[in-house]
Amino acid sequence: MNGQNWMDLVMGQMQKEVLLETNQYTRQYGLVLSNDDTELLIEERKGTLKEQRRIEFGESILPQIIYAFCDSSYINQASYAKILARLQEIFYLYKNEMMDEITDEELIHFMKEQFETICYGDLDYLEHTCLDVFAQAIRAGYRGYIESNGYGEYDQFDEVKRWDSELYQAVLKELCWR
Amino acid sequence: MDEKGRYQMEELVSIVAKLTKQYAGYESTSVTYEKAQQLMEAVLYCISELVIDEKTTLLSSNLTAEEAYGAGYEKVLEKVEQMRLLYNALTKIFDSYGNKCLYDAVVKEVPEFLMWYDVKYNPQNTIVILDYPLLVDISKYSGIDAVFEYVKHIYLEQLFLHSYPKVYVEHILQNECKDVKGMIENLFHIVLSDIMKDKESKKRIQEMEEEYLTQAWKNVNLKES
Repeated sequence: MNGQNWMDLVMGQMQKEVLLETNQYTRQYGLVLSNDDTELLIEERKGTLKEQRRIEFGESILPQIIYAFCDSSYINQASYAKILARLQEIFYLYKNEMMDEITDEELIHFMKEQFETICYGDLDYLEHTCLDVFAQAIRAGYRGYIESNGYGEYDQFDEVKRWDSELYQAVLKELCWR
Repeated sequence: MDEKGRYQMEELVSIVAKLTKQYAGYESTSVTYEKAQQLMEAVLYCISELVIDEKTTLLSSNLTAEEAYGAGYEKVLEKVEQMRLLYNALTKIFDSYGNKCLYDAVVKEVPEFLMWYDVKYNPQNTIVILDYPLLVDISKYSGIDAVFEYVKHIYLEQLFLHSYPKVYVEHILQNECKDVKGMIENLFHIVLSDIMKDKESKKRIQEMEEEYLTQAWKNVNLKES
């Protein structure tokens, strides 16, 4: 049976209603998807799945991404749909890069945590730095995220010296006590 | 089912969807194209187990695709069990006569297959290479079907070889090739050809080989011992 043909038939038409339903929860954060937004996201999903050579038979990952990210400090109504489309794209890319070793939930947890902290809402940094480094570790055999469920994982792989409170205190003391 | 006895795509996809969820442990909403294709082939492999030959099939229009898959899956499990019994019977009489290729096939590769064979998600995968050459072409088979045929034929060949003294067999093999250990030849063919060489033509030897293998299989009775 030709692989591409039968898979082309299985697009698992994501229902708009499923996406619109998320508005009931996300509204409290000032985020609402319009009909146009949902159509855009459905089209983006099809394209991204095809590009990443992945297939979803039933439910989409998008509602899970929505529920995880809707309380983000870095998402507002103006950029909501666009950011969701990007997050979806990054998600499928890294499911491949991590060779499906990580569950959906673990990956979303990692993405959200880094997006809110290290990345300060920068999707490019999330995609090209945090996730890239983490994916390399997983491909090399790292499985610590199973126990942590994807939380608190990045510190041990972070190559950048970041905010150090002890250093800050030391410098502050020096400046103030001069 | 359509008039040609084939199931509709939607029915098959529905089975693949369930299998995919099981495969992913309900922890992933998507899989790669390659994995999805593997799982589709797994479903088709199981359904095809109900087709015994071109004329005989256990498939009927009363069976849904899911029922056919379930029945086929059970047949695959049954076949693995039969293969295990056959392999146990083979190991009781097995003699490689110093040939490494035959030894590796029986002592290493078949147990490797039994250890790693994935009945549910990859039944079509034969896994092992099976270097020792048989006289029959089993290339049309895959998965448990291929290994079952392979073990069956080696077992039948062993029954034949054991009907002659070991020293005699070893003598024939050494006459055929100095490096009995390293040769990659079918031992049954060498011994039968030698025995019959003064009496029969090459074509007749091939016919006798096929006749022997067919008849000998009818006499095999596998039981758990």
